[in-house]
Amino acid sequence: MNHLQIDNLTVVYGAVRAIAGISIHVRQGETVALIGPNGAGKTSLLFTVAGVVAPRSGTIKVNDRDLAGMSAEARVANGISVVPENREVFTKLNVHENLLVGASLRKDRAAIQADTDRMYTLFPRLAERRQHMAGFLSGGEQQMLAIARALMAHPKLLMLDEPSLGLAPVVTDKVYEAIGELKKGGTSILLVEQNSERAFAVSDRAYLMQAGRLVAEGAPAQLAQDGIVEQTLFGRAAARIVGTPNNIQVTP
Amino acid sequence: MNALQMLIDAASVGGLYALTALGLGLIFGVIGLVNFAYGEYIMVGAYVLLLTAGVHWPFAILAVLIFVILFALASDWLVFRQVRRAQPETLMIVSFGLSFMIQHLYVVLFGSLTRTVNFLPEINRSIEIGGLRVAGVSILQIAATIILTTALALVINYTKIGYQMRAVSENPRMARLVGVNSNRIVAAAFAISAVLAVTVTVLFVAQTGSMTPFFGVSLTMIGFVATVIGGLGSLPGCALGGFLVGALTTLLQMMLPSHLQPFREAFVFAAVIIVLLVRPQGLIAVRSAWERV
Ligand SMILES: Nc1ncnc2c1ncn2[C@@H]1O[C@H](COP(=O)(O)OP(=O)(O)OP(=O)(O)O)[C@@H](O)[C@H]1O
Ligand SMILES: [Mg+2]
Repeated sequence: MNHLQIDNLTVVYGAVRAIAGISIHVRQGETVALIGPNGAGKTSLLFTVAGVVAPRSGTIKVNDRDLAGMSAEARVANGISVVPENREVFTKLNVHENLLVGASLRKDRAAIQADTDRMYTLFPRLAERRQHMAGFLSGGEQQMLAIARALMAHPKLLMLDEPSLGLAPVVTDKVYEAIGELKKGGTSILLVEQNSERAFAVSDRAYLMQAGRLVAEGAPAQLAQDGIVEQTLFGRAAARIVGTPNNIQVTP
Repeated sequence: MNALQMLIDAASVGGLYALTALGLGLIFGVIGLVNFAYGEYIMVGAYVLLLTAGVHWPFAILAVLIFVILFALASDWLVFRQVRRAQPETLMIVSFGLSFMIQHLYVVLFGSLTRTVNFLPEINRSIEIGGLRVAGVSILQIAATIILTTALALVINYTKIGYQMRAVSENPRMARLVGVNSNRIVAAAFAISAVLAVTVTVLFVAQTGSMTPFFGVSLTMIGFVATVIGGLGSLPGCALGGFLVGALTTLLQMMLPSHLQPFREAFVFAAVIIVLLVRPQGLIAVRSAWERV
């Protein structure tokens, strides 16, 4: 039984078909990268799984349970969390309140307190800023907060939308370190990125998508060698300039 | 009349308007709805007092409280939730329509004449404080304003429901994505605004002893003006705006020569226009729908 099983998913906004019949899956404890250029439909896919975008057709199952008609809140309760593109931290709430909002569905005060402490250990930067308005944090700090906030709900399946977007390389390192920790802890991860190099380094499997369709699927090392990643992301001509398969380092 | 007495009068009227403005500002802050039907919560409460005339007052107030809270929740469930994602203008028109409908339903049921009820006449008795003669209801109004404003500030800043409300206010989709049950949070905001409306109703009816199907609307218009002056969306701004409008009304009442008295409201609105010309963003500018109290 796969943790997440998406079959034939189609998502339409008015006249725009964002996702055209995609089928992907994530196994228990697996980290799967979903790579694609701007407008490929990556965010739409995550939001459809999270329950804030309604699919036109297709099925989404989590642990064999069909999510159709389930509210976004109920999906969080069922272990599905998303760290959105652009963080979307609550800027008018302080860091600590952001974490507490992440634990909205839980009632166990002591355990929530223990979890916030755990987050401050995982991200010491956040501990220093716990009373600061989240809107005043740097991009990297906001990304850490967005991840920590999602973790407060104890997700079994975590979806991250371009967590390295706009971050300095050292900050991206920090974020990916945290993703690595989660992976070790057994959380299933669906990782959306345009930064394929980073994503491939932590992923067990990868999908490439473009214009709402799957282009390729496979082991990250294999996809990286095929050169198909650059073709998908940048187009055929640009791929030759941006990078040849040989200069991509892959640590499977 | 001496200055201190005048101040107490201004503060008590201002308090009533501040509570009205807070009820409006709270709903606006959470879902961006300018809720004209808020006046109907006030008005419906008054008619419950009319129907429970003779019942011992704590039970009458309890009946009003229960009825108005249910009424406010029903207006959310049946009407506002159906148009939750609509544009602010649409929301405002919908609330206007609902308000209008309820008023006229009341005209059908109770007629449009002024009805009177003798509710808690004792609190209108004057009491002596340090040589001043003050109406008991004025003291109650000031006390209720201070207590409820403080309580609201504490709830919003320091409780779970408070930070969830602020989260829903800022980013409703993200709030749902972290598991906030936004329908429940919005319902809580409606319930709290209903409690504010009930306070206004009880104090108003106790003071004037009368009601018409339209008195809620006039109070709401004043409350709305107060929120605009204070900075729509800022709760401290709403409270401040309410106080200022109340104080201004009271002062005009006392200072205007009697032939100008009937035009008191015109002077109030003129002052509002001047404030908005000078500070279009309201006295307390907010960058978003919600500012910390
Ligand atoms: N709310 C919306 N209304 C209308 N069209 C939308 C909406 N959201 C996305 N789209 C369109 O759907 C397509 C897929 O968008 P989506 O945001 O899912 O892509 P993406 O892969 O996440 O892109 P990016 O890398 O830029 O974040 C795009 O053509 C986009 O313009
Ligand atoms: Mg995207």
